[in-house]
Amino acid sequence: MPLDDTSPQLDALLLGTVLEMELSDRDHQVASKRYKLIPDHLQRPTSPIRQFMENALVYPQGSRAIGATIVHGADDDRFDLDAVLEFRTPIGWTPRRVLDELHVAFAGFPDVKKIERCTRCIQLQFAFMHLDVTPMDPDREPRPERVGEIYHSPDDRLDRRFRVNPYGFAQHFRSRITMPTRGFQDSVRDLRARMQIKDRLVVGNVMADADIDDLPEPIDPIRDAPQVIALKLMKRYLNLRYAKRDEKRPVSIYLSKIAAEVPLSPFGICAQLETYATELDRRMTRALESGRRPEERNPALWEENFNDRWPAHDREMTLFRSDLRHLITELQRARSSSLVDIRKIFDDLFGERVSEKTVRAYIDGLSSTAAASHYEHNKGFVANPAFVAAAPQRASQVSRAAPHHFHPGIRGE
Amino acid sequence: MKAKPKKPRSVQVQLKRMEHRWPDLVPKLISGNRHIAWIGPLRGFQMKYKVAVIWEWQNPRSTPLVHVLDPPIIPRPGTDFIDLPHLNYDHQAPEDSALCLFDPDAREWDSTMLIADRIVPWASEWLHYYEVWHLDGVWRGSNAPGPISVGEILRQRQENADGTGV
Repeated sequence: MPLDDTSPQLDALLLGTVLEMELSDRDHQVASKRYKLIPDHLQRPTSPIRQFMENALVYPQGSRAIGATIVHGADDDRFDLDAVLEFRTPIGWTPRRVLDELHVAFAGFPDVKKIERCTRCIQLQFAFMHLDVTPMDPDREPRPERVGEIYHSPDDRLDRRFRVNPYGFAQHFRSRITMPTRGFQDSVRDLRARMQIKDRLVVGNVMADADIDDLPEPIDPIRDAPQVIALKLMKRYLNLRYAKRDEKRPVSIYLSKIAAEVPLSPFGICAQLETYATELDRRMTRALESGRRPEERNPALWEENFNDRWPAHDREMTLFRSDLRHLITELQRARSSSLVDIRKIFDDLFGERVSEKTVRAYIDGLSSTAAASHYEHNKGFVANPAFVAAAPQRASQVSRAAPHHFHPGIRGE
Repeated sequence: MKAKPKKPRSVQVQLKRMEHRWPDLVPKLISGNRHIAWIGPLRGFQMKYKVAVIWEWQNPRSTPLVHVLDPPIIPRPGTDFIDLPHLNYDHQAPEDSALCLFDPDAREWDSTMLIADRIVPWASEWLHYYEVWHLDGVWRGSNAPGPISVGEILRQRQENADGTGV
């Protein structure tokens, strides 16, 4: 398995695939604004739960907290974001009542199309964006930072509460991520600017454009770390694999934890994704052979088991493992395929629409001006040398070749 | 003081540099020891091609030629070898045509230069653009002034002979 070989052009396509699935800078601002509107809305004078919201705290959890948000892609261009809403449980309220009252209180939220009451959260559905707001009862002080209990209230079973610490996990995740070299980060920024990621999150009448443009926020640079890029590619791949199945899929937080545990590969993005998929495969195989299900814990709160809802059966692990093996096999095939065939492989792995745009962006970015080109010793041409130097410790040597012009001729003339 | 003209690179220097930069391209003597052929893998867009870099070593002023052995280069569907961009076209055996990697009029190659530092990287670059060209028929690599394929050259000659050329 060529996990130890560079693949700069394949990496450029994988990176383009991720960028094509990202929120644009403006989308980030729209999302941030919606997070900020949550406490404002719940504290408004007519809010039925206003009295309990005085010290409410809202912050991102899940993909938004770790720079791994991507468009879902299987059904439509939709981003799924998550927030925690911390406030003390009003005396005498059951989990069911907390969720029901919150559901009512969100009525009239700016730009919202529909509001769903789920078993653990309230889902605010906007055009091209779902925002799951999970209420949490913070532990009494002194408490480990942001530990608390979330509510679980299904229709057909008893209410429950679970102790969690999503904030602590996000901090742990960030501490495990190795940022790529400056050159790699600059190249990603250039590619992002060239690709002109489209704005997907339209704002309606209630939230004016000025509200969004007023507060440009710095974008989290962690989104460009290869470990996070590999996580986003894996999520996209699984979104497509599970789209037509009636099966539970591996939970994102489990995938995130393992992504951060796979060290930064010096061989580039494809190798990062291959190593990550191989590590997940190894864990599934070990669990299946031992008859024990994985129990990945939150390092910031040991009692929180990320695998409490998945996997419930060996069948789910076998299915996931077969998906991982398919991904590994196809990436390996891409390494020894022509660009025409790579595009077909990417259609299958990440979706036709995305792969077509990615390849188009790649070829549109090539310059026909004669300039010094780069090549990797003993391997060959490198369109973007920064992609073979994501890790501070390089796995390859790159040099320049003199500028030249290709030229046709007839032998003997 | 007038600079002394540079001498062609010796066979030892060329061999040593190739071994240093492209150790997987293995040299062997062919055609009655007249040529050195470095044979081995070279990356295109992503996949590796088996190529032969052939140089008439006893004539250091000769130009090295690069042939693609496996997988062989092929025209786009509905076209012919003559339409492949930037070939050193062999009209008797078009599939054996070498790659045309530099503009001789601009003196981009001469025998004082190193095969390992120019010809081989340029060949890899050619393969990269060849794969991109296969997608949509547009050559996105650099071009010397004039036609990009022998097919275009011959068509222009024909038009000039017919008096239909611009």
